[in-house]
Amino acid sequence: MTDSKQKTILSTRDVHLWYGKKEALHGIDLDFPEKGITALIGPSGSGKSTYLRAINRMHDLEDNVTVTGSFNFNGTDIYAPTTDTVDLRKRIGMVFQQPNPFPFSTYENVAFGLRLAGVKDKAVLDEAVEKALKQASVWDEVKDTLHKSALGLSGGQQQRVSVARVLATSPELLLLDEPTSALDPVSSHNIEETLLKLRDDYAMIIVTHSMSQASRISDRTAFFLSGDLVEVDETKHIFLNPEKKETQDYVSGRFG
Amino acid sequence: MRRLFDEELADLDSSFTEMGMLVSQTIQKAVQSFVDHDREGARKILENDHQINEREAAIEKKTFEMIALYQPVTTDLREIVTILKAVSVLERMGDQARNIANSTIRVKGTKHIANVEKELGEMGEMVASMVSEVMDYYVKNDALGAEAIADKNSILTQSAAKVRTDSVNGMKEDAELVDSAADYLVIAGYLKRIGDYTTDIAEWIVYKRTGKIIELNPGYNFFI
Amino acid sequence: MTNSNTDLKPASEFIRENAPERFIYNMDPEKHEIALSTHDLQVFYGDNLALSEGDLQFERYKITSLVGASGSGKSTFLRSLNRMNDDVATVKGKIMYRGVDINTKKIDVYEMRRHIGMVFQRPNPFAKSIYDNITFALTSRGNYTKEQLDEVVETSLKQAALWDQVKDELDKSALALSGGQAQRLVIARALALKPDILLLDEPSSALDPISSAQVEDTLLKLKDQYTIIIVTHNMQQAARISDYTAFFHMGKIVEYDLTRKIFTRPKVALTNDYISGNFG
Repeated sequence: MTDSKQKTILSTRDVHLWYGKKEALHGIDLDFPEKGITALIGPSGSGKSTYLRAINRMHDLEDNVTVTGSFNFNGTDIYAPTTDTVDLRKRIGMVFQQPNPFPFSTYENVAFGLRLAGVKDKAVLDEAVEKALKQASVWDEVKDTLHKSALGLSGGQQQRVSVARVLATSPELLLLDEPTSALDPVSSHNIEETLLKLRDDYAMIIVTHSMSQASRISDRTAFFLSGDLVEVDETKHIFLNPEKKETQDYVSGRFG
Repeated sequence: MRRLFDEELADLDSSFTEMGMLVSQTIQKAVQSFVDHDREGARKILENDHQINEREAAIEKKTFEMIALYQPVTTDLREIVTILKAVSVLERMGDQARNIANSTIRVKGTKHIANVEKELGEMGEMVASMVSEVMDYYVKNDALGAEAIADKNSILTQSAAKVRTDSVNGMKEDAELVDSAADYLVIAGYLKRIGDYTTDIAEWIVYKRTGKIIELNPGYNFFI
Repeated sequence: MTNSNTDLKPASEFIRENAPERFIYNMDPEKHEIALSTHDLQVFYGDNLALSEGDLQFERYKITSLVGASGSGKSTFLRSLNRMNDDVATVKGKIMYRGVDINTKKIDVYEMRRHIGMVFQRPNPFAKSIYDNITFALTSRGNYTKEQLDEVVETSLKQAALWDQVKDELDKSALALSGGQAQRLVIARALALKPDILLLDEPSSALDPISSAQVEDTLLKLKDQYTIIIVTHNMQQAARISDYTAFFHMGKIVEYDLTRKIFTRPKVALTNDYISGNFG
């Protein structure tokens, strides 16, 4: 999975980020291969979520945030003035901590992005919705209630529908911000299974607080601490023989 | 921050080193009984062998529990794996001590070769000290010291070869020495095996310290 | 190699067939001091039976974890223990505490909750100072001198392992605390009432691993003086801190045993699947 010869889909260099005058990221260099899962781990305030959100320009919505450095995404400069954020977020999809379906049917939730992109043909939409829900491993559970409100689904099903909604627009990169932290173990397990099925076809970056989740599903793990990238390596190295003492302490649960 | 795991790991560590010391003493006593033709001493070793086996079982059970309860990673995992692997090596060393004691009890010969018995006594002392040394390297997390055990083991191999030559020569010269000499060959084999086992433990100490799996035993796999 | 005996099954199936459907560890009152026990507890939401056959004993000064999937009944069970379900559900059966059935109408629920306190999932400090958060429940229900209150604040914050971090800013708003600190403040608030038993409903699921480790550390220190019952979704947390674990599944307690037994040799196949993360 982590073939070093793999093409790089996203390359970030010297990424700094300030909230007002407070520097939250101190120059992050990180590359992502075009397939497989990279986990970003670290304590609260380490900058891992801040970094993740910088990738699809979520900070644009906040005042007072300054981002510098280069973000080369398949040849696109993410922060170039000419880059259209709507188009960017179609290519870089994001799944959030809380399942957040829109208050309409499961079908319309998944079709939303395509309709936004101007797809009107019902047959095309039907096919895309089914494909996305299948990829998100939730089709069998929702296929008979596609036109009922997505809010009636369980938390785990809602989260997989959120994944399907993102997949429907055929993104090149998936960002996941603690996608299972609001779910029980069975639902989390289902999400993990879904991600494992997707990792042969997609590049995914997941922020997680669960060390065991990172070790179960990711190919590579990056450890953040106080706004710095301490170490990035194959997940099995991080959990068996990390280079840095800080990484070792954190992954073995030795906190301060 | 205090972790229950750290306390349990410290306990596990001391049970493991205690077992190592017990095994080292047992080996020394077994060789001494053989050299002294002390059948009573040998019987005591057989009677106490269950202690080593019980310790092994208790330590294994504890490591399984700790893996299941705490899912350790990095150095914690390496330490537990090292103990789990090394503890069965210690138990096999105990089995060799038992074999030596069994030979002491059933030895039939009345005629002995003094210089071979002296050599065996020295081998026994050396191998017992190797065992306590390797346990010491474990405690000090000393990978370099552990690697040096391999050198001592090659000296032991040479001693075993000398025992073999002297025993065979003895048998050629005097048929009445065959009973004793056959036992000498077997005991030298047991001692050499224990020496090999200390290098097995040394390999795990290197793993615990560095995360690298190495081979310290360059394949002297013949019996003696 | 072909096997002549076609009845031979893989070991896993053999274990599955021979596993009991339920296993509830029964304590010997001679050896274990039982702080709280439930007898045939049943909880109904309307006509819907959410929990049945709820028989558990909780040993004093031990931590007991209640684990299971969403909807398994573990939180329902926990909330029944100090009658938090009174308004939303019908709870049948006995809850024995110090020889008294506390699941009866004549029990003063507020008084009982001083003995059996509860801490919730999300840290929920009041929008008051740290000091007032702790003294609130006391001053609203009795007269205390300033010295008495000061002492309660200090003792409970120390027990909750928060004193050193906040002692110089007791007047600061509790809302300014970090997640882990806020959760420990809420624990201190519950301790101020000097309860006997502490119930915790996923106390660290909203926290990051470091804050969560701080809360676990606090609980381990508290068990010298308190009986603790905790609902957790985090299996490793249950394994790390608890002495006993009860596994709930579809409204029943499937297995209850010493935590180290549950995690190394569970008796029921369902438990084995759940704790090993095999949910298929």
